[in-house]
Amino acid sequence: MALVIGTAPQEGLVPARPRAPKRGEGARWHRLMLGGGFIVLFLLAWELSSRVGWIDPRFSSSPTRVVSMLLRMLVDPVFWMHVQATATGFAVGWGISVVSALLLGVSMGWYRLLRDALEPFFSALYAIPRSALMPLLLLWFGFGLTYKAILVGLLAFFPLLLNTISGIRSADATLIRMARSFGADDRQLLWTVAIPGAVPFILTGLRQSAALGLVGVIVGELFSSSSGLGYLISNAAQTFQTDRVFAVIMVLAVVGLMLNESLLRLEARLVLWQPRR
Amino acid sequence: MPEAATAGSTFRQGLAVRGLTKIYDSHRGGETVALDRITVDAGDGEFIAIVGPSGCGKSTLLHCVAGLIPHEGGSLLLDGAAVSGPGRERAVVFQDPSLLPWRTVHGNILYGMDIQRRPAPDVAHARVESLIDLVGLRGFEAHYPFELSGGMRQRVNLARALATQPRILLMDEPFGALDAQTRELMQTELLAIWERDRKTVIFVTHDIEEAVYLADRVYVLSARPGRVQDVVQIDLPRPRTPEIKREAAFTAIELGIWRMLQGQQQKEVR
Repeated sequence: MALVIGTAPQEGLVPARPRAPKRGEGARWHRLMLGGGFIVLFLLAWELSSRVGWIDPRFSSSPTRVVSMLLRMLVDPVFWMHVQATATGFAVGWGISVVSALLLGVSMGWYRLLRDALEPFFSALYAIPRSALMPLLLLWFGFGLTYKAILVGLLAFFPLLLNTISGIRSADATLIRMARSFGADDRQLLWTVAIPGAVPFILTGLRQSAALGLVGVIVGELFSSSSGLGYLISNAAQTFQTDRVFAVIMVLAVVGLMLNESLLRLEARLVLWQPRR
Repeated sequence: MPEAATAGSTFRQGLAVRGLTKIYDSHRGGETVALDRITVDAGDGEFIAIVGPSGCGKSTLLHCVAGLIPHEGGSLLLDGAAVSGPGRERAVVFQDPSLLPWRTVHGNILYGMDIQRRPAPDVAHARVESLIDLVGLRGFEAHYPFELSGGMRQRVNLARALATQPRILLMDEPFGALDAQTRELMQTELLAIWERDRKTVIFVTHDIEEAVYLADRVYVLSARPGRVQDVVQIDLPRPRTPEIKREAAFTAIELGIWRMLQGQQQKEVR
């Protein structure tokens, strides 16, 4: 994606802006060819070994069988019901964890007292493998949306919290001093210096938390649920429908990629002010 | 306060630093005197330069005057009344451009006015526009700091300070990191801007030539602890142009200050 910032009269004063669209495009083409080529090769090998009989398609399916299963699933309303169950669990859990991690992260990053009070508690919680809490969560909430959402929240919360805290804490001391010289009060320092400076950290945290949240919702459904894509996978595996298992995994891969890509685009849009790497 | 009496007797319009002392707690538990009873007078419209070797505490002094760090003794008077903390009548041009990376040139010049919530937004924006012309950044209003050269960043830094229309401009080696040509250009532009509205300027630098070129009066600081070693009145005619730096009167003053600082250094070596 090209970043266009303002329109500069071309004067000798301007340091030559890193202009590398040609090389960039070439590099992208190069990556696409090599990376895409490898994927195609892999799929071909999979298909071939399944056809020739080197591997048993009952266990490991094959690309054509996965695709034909996927096409059938995509027109099945039951499949979409499961998609909706997963999406709701993810959205509720992720949404809650994003809001709370941002509020808490900013406050803990800015107020030392709060950080000192809460850090040990969260560090301890962070140290627990969150999946160890699943039986307890099931006991408390039964299996359903609440259980899923809380599991997603527990996983998605920490990366955003930790990134937000370090983003706020890394506020540039020279900028704080500059703002104070104009008489900025504590609130103005937070809103005009610390928070904007933390945006890149927050965006990284968002991407990590989305990826972990997705893991959370699927694991929750695999472990115990009666609906959702995770349930579809475990159900299909138990009944030997490997084509179905792979088809759902493919859907998840696409969703994960799309989520990451859209957050990357948001990042590119929000941090126009950073030199391009 | 005993200082108040002293101040009353020498009352004048402008900024006065009276016996300012700054003490740091050193790592080993002792105390280090960074600034020792510094007295500086900056009457309205005067251009004051402070020179001294690195480590003499001249930046510390400026930050004390800006109200950014506390001082342990002495006082800071504006029109005879004590001031503490930052104030609207003073604005700082920092050594590091200290631009907000997420604001454009326009947004950065606006920043001080944003913080002080004055003047009204339309007036503020109009002021930014005229400052962009004044500091020669027309065409770059929408650029982000990372797209600017060092000289351009310092122009934004200067424009941001001017935008709040302070009475006193505190400048902390603003041209120190620029190359020689850009520095000379910026000095001359600063003088032109100063000639227009004659703000009070306190300009800290380690560059003697720069101090003599710009100032009405130069305070020479000694190192560790920082003391005012001498005060040199610069009676060169204004407006000044870079050619003046080659004149005999100029170089004589420059040499005098250089010898003063040189003498200090030799003392320090011994």
